Amino acid sequence: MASILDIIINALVLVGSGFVFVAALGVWRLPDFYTRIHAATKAGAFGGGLLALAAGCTFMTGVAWVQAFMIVVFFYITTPVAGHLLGRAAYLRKVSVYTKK
Amino acid sequence: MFFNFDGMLFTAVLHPIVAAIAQILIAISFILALLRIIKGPDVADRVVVLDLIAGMLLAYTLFHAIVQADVNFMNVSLAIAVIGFLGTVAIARYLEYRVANKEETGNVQDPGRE
Repeated sequence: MASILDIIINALVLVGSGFVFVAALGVWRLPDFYTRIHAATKAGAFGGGLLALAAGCTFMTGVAWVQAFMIVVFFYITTPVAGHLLGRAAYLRKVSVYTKK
Repeated sequence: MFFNFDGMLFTAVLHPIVAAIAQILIAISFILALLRIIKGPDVADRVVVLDLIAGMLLAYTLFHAIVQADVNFMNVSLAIAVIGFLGTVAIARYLEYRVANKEETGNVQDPGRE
């Protein structure tokens, strides 16, 4: 029988992969570089964090929880740094901004 | 056979339909990212996809750890989380350096620009 923990893991995996899909969909659909970097950094990092939580709930050992925590922390530290540097490089490079016509 | 209920995707915790849906979503994400790499008008758009691919690879590795019930795949995703942004940072610094070099020396060689 499905326990509450299994239901939580299933929901976390579904929502996490859904957020990863929304990030890729935003990168494909949005009209501008700056809106695309917004989609890629925020939604992608949140999806990865939810899947890390799901993996920690799956294994339920101390090592797995520490690893899930470290994955979330490092991913949430490094993704905004990369996004900020890339946005700054694109701004200095004069990548065009989308304006609604 | 796309998936079966007690074959490759069977796990103790994940429902097979949930596992199939998650795998399809992540696969479509990779396809959309590759389409943006092909289409992207500037180098910066392609580097955004590079950053996103690191995140999708981390997500798929964690999903694979859950599906296979193997805790060792979490080491892989931890390594991706730590070093996945280095390529993006390196290319961003290189693009900034190239802009600064063009402003200082007047060297207009910039093949990546549209």
